[in-house]
Amino acid sequence: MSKKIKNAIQDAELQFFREADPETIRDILKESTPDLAEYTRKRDEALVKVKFLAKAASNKQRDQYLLDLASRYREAIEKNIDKPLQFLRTLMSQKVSAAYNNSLDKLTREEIIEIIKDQNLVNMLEQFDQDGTNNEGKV
Amino acid sequence: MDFVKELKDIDYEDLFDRLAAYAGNRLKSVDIRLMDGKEPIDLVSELFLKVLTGQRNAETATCSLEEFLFGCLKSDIDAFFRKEKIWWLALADSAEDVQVSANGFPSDFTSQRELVIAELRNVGADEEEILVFNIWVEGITKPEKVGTELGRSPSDIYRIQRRIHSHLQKIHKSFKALL
Repeated sequence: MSKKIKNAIQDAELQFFREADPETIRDILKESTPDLAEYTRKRDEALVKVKFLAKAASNKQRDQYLLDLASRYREAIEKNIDKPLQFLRTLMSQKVSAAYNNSLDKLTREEIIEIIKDQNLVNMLEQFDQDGTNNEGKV
Repeated sequence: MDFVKELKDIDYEDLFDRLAAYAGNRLKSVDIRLMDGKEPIDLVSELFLKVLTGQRNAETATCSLEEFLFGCLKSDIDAFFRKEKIWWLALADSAEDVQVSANGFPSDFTSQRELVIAELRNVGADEEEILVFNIWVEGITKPEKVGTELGRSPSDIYRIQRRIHSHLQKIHKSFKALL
C-alpha cells in the first residue's frame, strides 16, 4: 500500500476522533463498547487517579516555574536589567497590599514569588528567554 | 506547551472518550479487540498515567496536550501492528510494498488509489465517500477543512467519514483474504 494513501487514511481517522462532536464520539463508543455503563464506570474510576496525578503534576511544575522566575528576577535586579525590572515595578504597583517597599534591590525571593504568582508564568519565562535575560550568562 | 494550563483546562471525560473511541476504531479496523491483552480503555488509562508521571515527557512538547496524547496512542498502536505484522493500515515500509506487489497488487500510487476506490465501491461506498477519500489522498484530512473544500458542514463530514471507516474495515477483510 502506498504510504501516501495509508497516511491519508490514518491522518483522516485521527483528525476525525479529535474533532468530531461529543455526541458522535459517544455514538461510536456505544457501537463499539459491549456495555457502555460499565465503560463509563471504569473510565470515571480511572479518571479519579488521573485527575489526582494531574493536580500533583500541575502544582509541582508551577512551584518550579515560580522558583525559576524568582531567581531570574533576582538576577535581573542585581544586574539592573531594565525590561524585567519595569515589568516587576508595574506588578508591584498593582498589588493592593504593598507590604514591600519600592526598593527592588531589597526584594526577597519569597516577595518576588508573591508578586508574580498570579501571572502567566510560562509567558514570563518565555519573555525572559526572548529578551536574553535568562540566568545562564546571556545577559 | 503550557503543561500546567493544559492540565487545568482539558475536559478529561471528553478527551478520554475520544482517545478510547480512536483506539477502539483502530483495533476494530484490523478485526482485533485487544492490544497485548488490553482493551482500549486500559490503553488510554495507562497513557494518561505515563504522561502524568513523566514516563512520557509532554512538558517539552511543542504541540497541545491533546495532540500529544493522540500522537502517543497512534504510535503505540502502529508499533503493535508492526510487531504483530498486522496487514493493511500498518503497512509502511518498502519490503511490505514489494510483498503486496508480489501478491498481484499494483505498486504505483495512482493504480493503488484506483484499487482502493474500486474496493470502496464494491463494499457499497457512494460518491460522497469517494469524494472525501480523494480529498484525504490530496492531503486534506481535517474534517473541518474537508467540509470547506466540499461546501459541507463538519457534521456532514463526520457522518460520511463514519461510513468510510466502516467500509475500510470491510476492505481490510477482503484485502487480507487476497494475501
